[in-house]
Amino acid sequence: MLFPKYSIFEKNLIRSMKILKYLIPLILPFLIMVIVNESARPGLTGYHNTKYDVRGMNPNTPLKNKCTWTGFFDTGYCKRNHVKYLNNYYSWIDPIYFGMIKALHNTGNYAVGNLFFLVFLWPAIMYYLLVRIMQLRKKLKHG
Amino acid sequence: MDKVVDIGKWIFMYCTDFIINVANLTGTSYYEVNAFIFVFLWPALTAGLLIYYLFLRVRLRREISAKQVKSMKT
Repeated sequence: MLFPKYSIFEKNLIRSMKILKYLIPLILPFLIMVIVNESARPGLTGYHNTKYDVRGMNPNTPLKNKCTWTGFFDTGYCKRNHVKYLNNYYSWIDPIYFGMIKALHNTGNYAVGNLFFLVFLWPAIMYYLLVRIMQLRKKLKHG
Repeated sequence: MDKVVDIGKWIFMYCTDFIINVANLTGTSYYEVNAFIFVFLWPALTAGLLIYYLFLRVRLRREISAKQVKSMKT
């Protein structure tokens, strides 16, 4: 018998907690993204991306003291004006960094490839491994 | 279908805006935040999770076989 000594309320609470335990690692990163973006939004002018026909939050003007969409379109500009800590590591970061960008371009649609691999597939693999680890730890704990 | 593509484009722009906002909040750059997440953090985290998962699987299998041996003896 499942939860023999608990009331219906307690049983439901325990079930909800179990579901939450698995949902929190899935939702938390997206929640953090929304909090960061929406707290930054008031001071931003935004720009209209004509290629995707969507309005971005940050401007697309090159600024020396701040990152904008210019850094996305022109990595060289970002590296010349904004990079502070990784200057000495370009030689081994760039092959991976630009290799990933090239691979995403090779999918035929950079935005869709980016979204599929970096927003859904890769996080899904990490989430799957995390859930399996939680299940295995539970099995080991309870024998 | 057009609606799905539009939502996809919006999510892509929103995620890119997030990286730019994190760069400005931390006083770093778009390049550095991207490099930190996609070149260091996620590969390390994925490898770590995979290694730990395999380690737990092996441990569980050993425990199960140890229990089986024990029950066969008794």
